[in-house]
Amino acid sequence: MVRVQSGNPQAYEMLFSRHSGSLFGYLRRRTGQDELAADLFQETWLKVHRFSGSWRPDQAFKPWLYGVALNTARDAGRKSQRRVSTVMLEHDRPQAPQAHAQRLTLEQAIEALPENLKDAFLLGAVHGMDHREIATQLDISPANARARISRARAFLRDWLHKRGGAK
Amino acid sequence: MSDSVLDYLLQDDAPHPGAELQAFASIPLPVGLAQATLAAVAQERTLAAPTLALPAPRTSVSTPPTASEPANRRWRLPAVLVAGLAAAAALLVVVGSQPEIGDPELLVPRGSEGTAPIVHLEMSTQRGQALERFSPDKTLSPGDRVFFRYKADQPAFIHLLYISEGGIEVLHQDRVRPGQDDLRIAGDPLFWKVEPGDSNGTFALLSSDQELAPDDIARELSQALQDTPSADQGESARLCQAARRLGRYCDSTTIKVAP
Repeated sequence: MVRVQSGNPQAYEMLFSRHSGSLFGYLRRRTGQDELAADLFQETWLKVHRFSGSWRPDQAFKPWLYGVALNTARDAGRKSQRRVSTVMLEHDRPQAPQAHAQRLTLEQAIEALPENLKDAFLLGAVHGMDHREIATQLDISPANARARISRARAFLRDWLHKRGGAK
Repeated sequence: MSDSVLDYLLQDDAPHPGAELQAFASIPLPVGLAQATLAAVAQERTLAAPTLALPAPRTSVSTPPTASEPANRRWRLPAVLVAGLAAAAALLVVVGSQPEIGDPELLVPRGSEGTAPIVHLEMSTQRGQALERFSPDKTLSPGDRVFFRYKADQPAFIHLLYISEGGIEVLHQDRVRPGQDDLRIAGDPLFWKVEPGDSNGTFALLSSDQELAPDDIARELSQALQDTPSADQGESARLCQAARRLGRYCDSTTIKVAP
């Protein structure tokens, strides 16, 4: 990231390559929409470029990146209009049928999570941020972050149980 | 998806599945998204490429990555369109040839103060959860945030600058409608966070009736400041004198930062 701040395009592309799939996964699950997630993804990376100077070397890059993405997604949620041109959407993720069905069910459960639980769950359980990092992103206490993840897991278990995808 | 990933996602005490979780976390990008994004970034990088060695970007301006908008904020604004930003960036190419630095004769004002849109800068500060109107008598401390609001009498290109002993930095540019609004980036209120080690400085809001490249603004204003005598009213007034010589309307405020 230091090299990105100094204007190194290769360093930027390296960061982009390393975090793109995960970031898109986060945005896709948070929004539940392919096109909106693509828009937010593009806007997030533009912000990373524009405001790379706001990153400090004592910060981990990933939480900073997800903070930018979260803020971008929140802003989009406050608006009803689309802001970024779209790209063609074609997913191709070959999977065994059973695993695919299992995944779809879980994705539906995640999509049904209340927003406050979803953010904590995605950032913590799926994307590996610790409670302190989640707390910073969501402006809550670390204990609250932990509690939200736990409540999200309980919600998912219940949701899957009621729909026959019990675990 | 493996059972270990499912267990981990559903149970508080399940062992971490390691790399399998990373595979779950990632979703392949839609076709063309990566290329389109990198192309958009490359375009911005090209259009904003510096032509001179300027002070390194300051690290304390950002969109708030985590904090939600303060509950007691009174300002609500239309969004800044990302598409508009992209289009604005594209317009940067029309600013004309760049003068050589060091030769005041080549500093040609683009526009005039008489025609530049009149703009005013208002600021507020947030310490903790309390948001209040900025007072120049108030000393800011690390952690404080400064929010910005403009007033414009006609459509304008506005440029928010921060001038300190570290040099001139263009923090934000936008094309705005007449009226008043917060300065925002893609809808998020722009703020300046005071960090340890910060010293006194001046925020200035300049206007122009055409798009200007940030490097041009910083370079020309830096040059104009060298030719502007100290003002009795202080550095803030001197700064705007220099800006007006370049045909910009200017409003500025100096901040005091606790050592």
